[in-house]
Amino acid sequence: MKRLLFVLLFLAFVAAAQEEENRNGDYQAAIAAYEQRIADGEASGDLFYNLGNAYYESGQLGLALLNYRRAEIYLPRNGDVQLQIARLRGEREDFIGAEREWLVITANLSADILTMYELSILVFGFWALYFLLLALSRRSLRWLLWLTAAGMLIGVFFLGTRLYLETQQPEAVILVDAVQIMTGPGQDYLPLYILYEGAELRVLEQRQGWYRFSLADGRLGWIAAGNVEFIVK
Amino acid sequence: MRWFSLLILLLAVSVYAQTGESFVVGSVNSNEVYAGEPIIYTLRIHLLGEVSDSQIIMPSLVGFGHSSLRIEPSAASEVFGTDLYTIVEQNYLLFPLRIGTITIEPFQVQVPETPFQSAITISTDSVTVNVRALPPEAPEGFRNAIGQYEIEASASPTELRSGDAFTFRITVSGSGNLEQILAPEITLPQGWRIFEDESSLIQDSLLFGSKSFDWTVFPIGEGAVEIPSVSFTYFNPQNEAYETRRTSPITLTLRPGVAVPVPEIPDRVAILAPQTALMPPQLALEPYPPLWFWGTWLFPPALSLAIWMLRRPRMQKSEPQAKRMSSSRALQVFRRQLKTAQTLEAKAAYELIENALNNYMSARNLDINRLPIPLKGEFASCIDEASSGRFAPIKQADVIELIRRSLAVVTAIEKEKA
Repeated sequence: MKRLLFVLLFLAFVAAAQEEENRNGDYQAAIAAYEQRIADGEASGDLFYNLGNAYYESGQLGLALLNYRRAEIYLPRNGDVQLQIARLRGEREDFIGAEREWLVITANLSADILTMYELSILVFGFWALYFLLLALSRRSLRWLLWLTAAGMLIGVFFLGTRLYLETQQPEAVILVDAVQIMTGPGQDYLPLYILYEGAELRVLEQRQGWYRFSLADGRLGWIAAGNVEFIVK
Repeated sequence: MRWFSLLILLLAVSVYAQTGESFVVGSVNSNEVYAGEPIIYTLRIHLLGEVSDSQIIMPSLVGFGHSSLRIEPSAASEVFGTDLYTIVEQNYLLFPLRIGTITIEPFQVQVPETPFQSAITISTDSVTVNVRALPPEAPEGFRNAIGQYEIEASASPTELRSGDAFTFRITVSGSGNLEQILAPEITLPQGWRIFEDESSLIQDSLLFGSKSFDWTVFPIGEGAVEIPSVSFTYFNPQNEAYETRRTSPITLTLRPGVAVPVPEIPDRVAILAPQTALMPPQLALEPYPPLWFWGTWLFPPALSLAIWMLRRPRMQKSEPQAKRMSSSRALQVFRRQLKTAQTLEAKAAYELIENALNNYMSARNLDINRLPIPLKGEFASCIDEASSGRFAPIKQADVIELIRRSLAVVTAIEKEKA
C-alpha cells in the first residue's frame, strides 16, 4: 500500500513538473516528458491535449492536430479540444472542408457525442433490455420490445459504421511541411498536387510503403507512408 | 485540332483477335504520349447476326487513370464478306500515370448464345503505349493541365455595395485532361473575403469541354476596383511546350456599404499563449471497451434462454387444462342444442340432434372408430336414428327418447376420456 502511494505521488510530481515546463514555455522539455509518459503506456484525453498544446506552441501544427484528435477520442464533448481542432484546421495551408460521404456523416453523428465505449454501453443496454422483454413475453410490453429492438438496431448501425471506418478507412494526419501527392504508389507516377502539414486524410489502401487516400473534398491520391501518422494507432 | 484529327484517324495500333465468328478489336488514338496526356481507347466489337447483349470485362489498367465519364456505345451494321455483322463501339478515356512503356492488357467480351453461335468469350490483343516525361522546369503555376485550353473570367454582379457578395468565375475550355485540372490561383485585393465553391465540368465529348471554378467574394472598397488577370499554365503536347493564358482584368464598381472592419489577425503566439491553458486530469472512460466487455453481450441472450427453459414445463402443463376446458365447453354446447331440439317439431329436432352429435365429435376431435365397441355402437345407432328417422313417421316421444340416449352416450364418452 505504501509502495502504491509512493508511485502515485511520484507520478503526480512528474506530471506537475511537466505542466510547469509547459507553463514556463519550455515546450521541448514538456513534449519529451509527455511523449515518455505515452511511451510508458499512459493514455488520457488531458495528456494528449496538453501534448497537443506543447506541439502547437512550438509551431508543429501536424503533431499538434494529431494529438488534439487523439484527445478528442477520449473527450469527444470537451469544448477546449473542439476549439483547438477547429483553430488548427483554420490555420493549416490546405482548405479541405468537411467530409460529405454518408458513412462518415453517420459515424460522426455519434463520434461527436460519445466515445466508442459509451456508445457500446448504450447499445448493450438496449441489447439486454430486448432479451429481458423477450424472455418475459408479455403482450402488454410488446410495444416496448419493438422500441428496444429499433434502438438496438440503430445503435448497432452507429457502432458498425464507426468500427468499419476506424479499421478499414483509418484517419491520418500529415506531419511534414509539404508533401507531393502522386497518382500511384511510387515516385515514377505523376505528381498530382501538394498537401501541407496538418492535412487530415482517410487511408483507403496500403501498398509498397504508400497509402492511397481520400480527402474530405473528394480528392484522391497516393502518399508515402513516412509522411503521415494514424490518429488511432 | 490535333485531338480531332487523331480521333477520326484512330491510328491502328492493334491487331484484331478472332475467335469463332465474332471478334473484337482494341486500339488507341496514339501510342506515343506524354504522362498525363489523355488517350482514347476504342473497343470495337464485331458480332455476327443480330445485336445481342454482350458484357465487357475491363482489365485492371495498371499505370492508367480512368475517366469517370460515361459515353453510350454506338452500334452499326456492316457486311464482311457474305456475313452481316453488328458492330458496337465503346470509347474509354485513359490517362497514363507513369513514364515508360505501359501495356493495356486485353479487354474481354462475353457474347451470350445467339441463333447463329454458342456463348463465347472473345478478347483483344494487348496494346502498348510509350509514355514520355513532361519537359523539365515547368513554369510556376503549372498544375498538370495537359492539352489545349482557353481561359475566361467573369464576375456577377459587377456593380454592388461594398461588403456584398459577388461570384467570380474562371472557365477553362478546350481539349485535354479537363477532369484532372485544378483551379488556377487567384489574387484579389487585400481584405476581401473569398470562399471557394464547387467546380462544374461540362463535357461535350470525351476530350472537349469546359470546366468552371466559382468563388464567392466579399469585396471591400469604393469606386472602380480592378480584379487582376488570372493566369493558367498548361502543357501543349502538339507544340511540345508549356503555354500560359491570361484572363482580362475585370472592373467592379463598388458603392459605399455597411462598413465591416477587416479583422486584424495578431501574431499567433500572442493570441494563443493564454488560450492554450493546460487541461487538468479528466475523469473519463477509456475510449474503447476492453475485450471482456464484448463477452458480457452473451449474458442477456443466455439469461433469456434460461428463463424460457424454466417457463417451458409450466406452459406444457397448462395445455391439458386447456383441453379439459374445451371438453366441458363442447358438452355445454351439446346440451344446449339438445335442449333446443326439445322445443322443435319432431323432424327438425332429429336434424338438430344429428348435427349436435357430429359437432360434439368434431369439437372434441374424436374419432368414432377409436371409441370402445359398446359406445361406438350406441353412438352410431343414435346418429343413424337421427339421420334416417326424419324420413319415417316419428312422434314427440321418440324425440325425447333419442335425446336421452344421445345424452347418455356422450356422458359415457366423457367419462371414458376422463
